[in-house]
Amino acid sequence: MMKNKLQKFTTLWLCFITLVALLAPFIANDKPYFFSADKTTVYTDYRQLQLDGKNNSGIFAIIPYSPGSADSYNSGPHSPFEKNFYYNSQNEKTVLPLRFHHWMGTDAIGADVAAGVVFGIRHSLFIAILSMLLAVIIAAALGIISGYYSLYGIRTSWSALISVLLFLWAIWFYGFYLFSDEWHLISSAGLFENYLVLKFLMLFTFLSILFIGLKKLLYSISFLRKEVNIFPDRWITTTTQLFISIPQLILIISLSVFFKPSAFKLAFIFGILMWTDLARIIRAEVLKMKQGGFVESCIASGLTTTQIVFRHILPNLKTVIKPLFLFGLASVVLTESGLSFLGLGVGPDTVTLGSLLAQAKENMDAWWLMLFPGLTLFITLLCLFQIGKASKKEN
Amino acid sequence: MKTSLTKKITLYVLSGVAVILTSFFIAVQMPGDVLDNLLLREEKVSVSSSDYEIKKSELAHRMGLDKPLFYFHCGSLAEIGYEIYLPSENQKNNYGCLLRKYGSGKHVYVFTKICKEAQSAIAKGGDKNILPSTKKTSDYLRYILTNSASANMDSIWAVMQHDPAITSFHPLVNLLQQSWKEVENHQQSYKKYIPAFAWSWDNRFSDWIFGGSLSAGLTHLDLGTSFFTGEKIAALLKDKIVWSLGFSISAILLAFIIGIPLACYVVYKNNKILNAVVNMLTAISYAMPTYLAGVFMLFLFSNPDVINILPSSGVKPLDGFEANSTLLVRIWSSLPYLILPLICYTYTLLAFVISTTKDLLQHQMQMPYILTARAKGMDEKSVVYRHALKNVLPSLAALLSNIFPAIIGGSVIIETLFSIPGMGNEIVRACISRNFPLLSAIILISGFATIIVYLIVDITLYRLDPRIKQSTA
Repeated sequence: MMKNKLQKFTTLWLCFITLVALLAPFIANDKPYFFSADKTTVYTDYRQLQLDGKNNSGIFAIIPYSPGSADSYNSGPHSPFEKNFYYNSQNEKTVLPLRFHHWMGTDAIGADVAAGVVFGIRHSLFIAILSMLLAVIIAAALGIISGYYSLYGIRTSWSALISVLLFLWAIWFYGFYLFSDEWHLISSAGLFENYLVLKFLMLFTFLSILFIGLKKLLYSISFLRKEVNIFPDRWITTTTQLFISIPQLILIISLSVFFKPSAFKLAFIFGILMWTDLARIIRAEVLKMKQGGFVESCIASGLTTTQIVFRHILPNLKTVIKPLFLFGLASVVLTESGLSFLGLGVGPDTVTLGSLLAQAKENMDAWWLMLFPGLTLFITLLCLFQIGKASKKEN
Repeated sequence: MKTSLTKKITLYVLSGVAVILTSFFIAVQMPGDVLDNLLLREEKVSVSSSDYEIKKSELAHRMGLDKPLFYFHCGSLAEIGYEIYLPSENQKNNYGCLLRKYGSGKHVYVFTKICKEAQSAIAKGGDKNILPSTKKTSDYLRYILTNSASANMDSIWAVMQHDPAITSFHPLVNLLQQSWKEVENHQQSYKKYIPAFAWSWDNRFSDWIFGGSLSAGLTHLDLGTSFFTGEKIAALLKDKIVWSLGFSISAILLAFIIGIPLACYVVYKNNKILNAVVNMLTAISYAMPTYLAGVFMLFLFSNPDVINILPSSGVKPLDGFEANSTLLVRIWSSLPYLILPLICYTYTLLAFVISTTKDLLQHQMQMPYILTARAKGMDEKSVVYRHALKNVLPSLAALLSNIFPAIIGGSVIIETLFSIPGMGNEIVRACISRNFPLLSAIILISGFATIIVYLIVDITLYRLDPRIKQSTA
């Protein structure tokens, strides 16, 4: 009974914050959804529409503030229990109506904490989900390759091996090295600038046709027709070991210095560093599948490797990946908030849960700066751990 | 078997190499203004002065920045072997464009070299204030160095020939024009599509490892000098490592000393409520980020409005220790400063140790040998402590290799939060000021510390678990 309730609460909370994250600009925004005003009056602040006008009306979001936008009348950490003020058109100090009250207080510059929390959740979840998707893709690819081919290796001919290596090298040289100036542009000008991606795809097609031809050509030479066994397992497990020989957080911090991170880049950094544990476990699981049971019967019944991997192994991996994915989400949320707590994450103009907590450290009297972001973070992490644990127990 | 031992050793060597390479490639990164800073600090040359670029190239040459980065270098035939140090980003881009446009690296190299030499000769030769023509010439040269790939050079030569202000430099202009003609006559743009490979022993990596003009090298335990301040990094980090390692090791010891008996007690009692409580506490401490817990504890215990019993930052009294006090007295006087950080360091670790030990023990308790032990009349306490725990110990030792990197990472946050003068605090400051040599040194140290811990764990496992001993012997 107790367990059931806990489960219910966990699911509900996660759904709730996902919804909040998705709808964040509609929940916390200092611009009204709709307003009508007489055209002669100039408003310096959108709130004045509501506070000031007789004929004016506007429909505001639930939290009528944007994150990080300063409310100069209520600046300095301002408790949620204090009265909020504003100066009306006659320049008199007036109490703000409850509709515009800062329900979670304000921070040092007068930015609304509630709006900060809403957008902080959005930011955290965005990075966590994106990076874990990337990590899962990398880990599944590497784990399946290394697990599937761990015992017997990939058996190919020397000709194929040589042409694949040459192909990879040619892609690097002609695709990236020669156009390095243009690739640098991408970070500033966007992915589709200069038809670069199109050019790259054309090059890729051309080179693949060329190197398939090369392989056929090499195959006609007798000593290159010999078979060779490659063991990707060794390389991949070694790479995994190399990745964990430097403490993860330190690697993330130093990478985030290089890439002046936006949310996308930060997600990418997390993604390329979080796959190690996942890959190790997926590899073990695939190895277990390969050694006994259905994979052998699949091979015996004449399915191709692609069919086996995509139709049989991947669906079976779902139960293994799910808890790890959830734990991974939790750890990315935790680490990302830690980064912005240190002031190293995304730029200072983005409000995150971590940056709110960092402000709490500066203003020790302002308990609301610590309580609301902290509690949100804590409950979210708790729920992610719980749901991860529960899905781990299922299998 | 012998092969598994070799494999292990290879893995350690490879990890070491990976750490060294990562750290090197971070160390050689330069935030844009480092050379400018150095010039301003040591030679009092400002960016606006006219011989600034020459001074910068000279400094780069002295620091060995004009050498290739690594032993080998892949690139196109047009570029390889014709690397030249150019002081500004525009000039570098222009040089690259020239190489790719004309393809004959040799002639482009000669042309650029003549430009640079002429520039430095002019800078050394005369006083710019007296001779306006020299200033004008160096302006022309600078224009050529930055724009020669895109500009119409013929018109530039024409302008230079007919400019009355620089008549005395006509021999130079002729020389430049000739070398430019060479460049144009030997246009071999196909060369950029041909890949090439170069090898050089004299490079920045070998300087960094074995010592060169910039540092005494890693082999002499020289980690380079910090940007901006020019301090030796090894000396800078010496005290900081002590704090970080001290905190980490004491936290690990505390967690194991408290955690293992506690987990044993929970398993021994086998009480449902106790189990649930432990589960709940571990879940809470997992979900409680250290920075949140730290801020919370600071809010509770070092806040004049709530309880003010513990200091909020630092590791020792503000006015320092008393003169010639003993070590014990020193530890005692800085004890209040250590309590909060130590709690922050320990609590997640403790939860991790307790839950893992508990799970492992509970798994062991279902084994047949436990049944045998019970059957021969052992009491439950010694079954847990003497039989089950012994079998769990190797796994607990292996746990250390998971814990150590995490705690090194966690130290970054805790040390910043409590202003502990350790490595974690230093790395944050290095990141904010983009002090890459310092960053790389910290990565190197923490990487090697991690590898050493892995090694210790492997050796311990080898000692503790006779099965491994048998399989490797």
